[in-house]
Amino acid sequence: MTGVIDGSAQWAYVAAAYGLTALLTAAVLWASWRAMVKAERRSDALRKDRR
Amino acid sequence: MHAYANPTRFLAIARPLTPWLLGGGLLLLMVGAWAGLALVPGDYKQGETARILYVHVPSAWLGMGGWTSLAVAGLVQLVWRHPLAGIAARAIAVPGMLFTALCLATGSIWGKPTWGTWWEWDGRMTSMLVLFFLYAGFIALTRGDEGARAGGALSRGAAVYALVGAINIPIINRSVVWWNSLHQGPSITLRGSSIDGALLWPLGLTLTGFSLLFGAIVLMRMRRIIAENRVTARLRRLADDEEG
Amino acid sequence: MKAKHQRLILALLAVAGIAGAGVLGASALRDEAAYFRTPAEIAAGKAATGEAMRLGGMVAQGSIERLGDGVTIRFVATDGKASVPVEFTGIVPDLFAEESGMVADGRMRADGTFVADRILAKHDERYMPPQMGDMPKGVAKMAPKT
Repeated sequence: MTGVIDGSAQWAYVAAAYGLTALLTAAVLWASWRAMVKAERRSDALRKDRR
Repeated sequence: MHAYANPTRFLAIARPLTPWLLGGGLLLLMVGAWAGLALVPGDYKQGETARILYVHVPSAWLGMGGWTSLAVAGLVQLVWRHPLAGIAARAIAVPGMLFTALCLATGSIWGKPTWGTWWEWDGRMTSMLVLFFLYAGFIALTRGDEGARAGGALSRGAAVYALVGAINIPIINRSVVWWNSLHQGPSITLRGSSIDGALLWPLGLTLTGFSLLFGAIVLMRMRRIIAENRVTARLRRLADDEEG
Repeated sequence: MKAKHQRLILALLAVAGIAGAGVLGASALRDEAAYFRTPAEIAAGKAATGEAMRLGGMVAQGSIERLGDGVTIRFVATDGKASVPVEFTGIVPDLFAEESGMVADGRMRADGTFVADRILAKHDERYMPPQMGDMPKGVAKMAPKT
């Protein structure tokens, strides 16, 4: 009851928030990139086939 | 606007733009996180936990901004039948839901040491949770029907759903003003900021960084849908040729 | 009139309708969706004795006192218009302090004291470095904005 948050435990909350953000953002970024590369590769290959 | 109706024209811009948005976003985020974690002092009351602000506020902004764009895309599709609008709406849904989830999670992590609770059903938190479920509903509604209509357009139901869901955005924004809430009032308003300048500047970096990253994810997902639609169209044409 | 214009007008009407319905719904919820009640609302008789509710307010300056048992505290919650004495047994959050916001779960006792079984700290919208925190604070915003 000091009116102020102190002590080392507060860094654990900060680390959890930043870690979770980095992890989930990276996962969506990676999945979107992979799916895009795969789809565009297929599309380009089909276009070449046609010629 | 119809100049970009053609996916080929869109791709001519989107393809070179994607790596720039991605690179710029990651760079700004690294600088912003370093500034937010190491350069600026803690808050006079919240101590170090105030640093969660630099990921929480951009998440909230993108979660809400995402649905706003999704609703605009729904409107453009309903009125102008613009072929890219449906694709854009589909591409926005997953990153929008991601940042809404991150907003809820980082808020909860901040709430525990600050308020003394992980979760309370106050107006701000409840309306943000509603936004999360709106995204989930939109994804369920549009999942797997990209090929059903020409060029990945949304079904009319999904486009109307996007518009109706937009009413939640001003509710989230005003929830702390209209109702007594546990969540504090807005720190940054048109009249200025009650976040001191010494603590505010990394927020500009992470806000811009996350926005660029959001743009990069949306472009990647749009490119994927366009490529898949092309594959479907070509396969159909090939099958027709064989029959004929 | 082209079909496109017809659709535009229809869509805009629909958007206006949705927005109107949303505003009406939100204002109807004004009291229901409030997370807590203020001392002024309690003074106006909006709280029945024994009814479970939340009370939100500033902790009045110099009002926190610890009772003889060592774990029970008493303080006065105020919103600038009215004040309510609060009694609580248990652990309060770090940010709980005088001249700072708080929200308490509990009920009114017949003698006009609010007996809390849980206390949360309410943070305000100000963020500043520690050395600036020592400067005189403005009147903190806790009063209901009606």
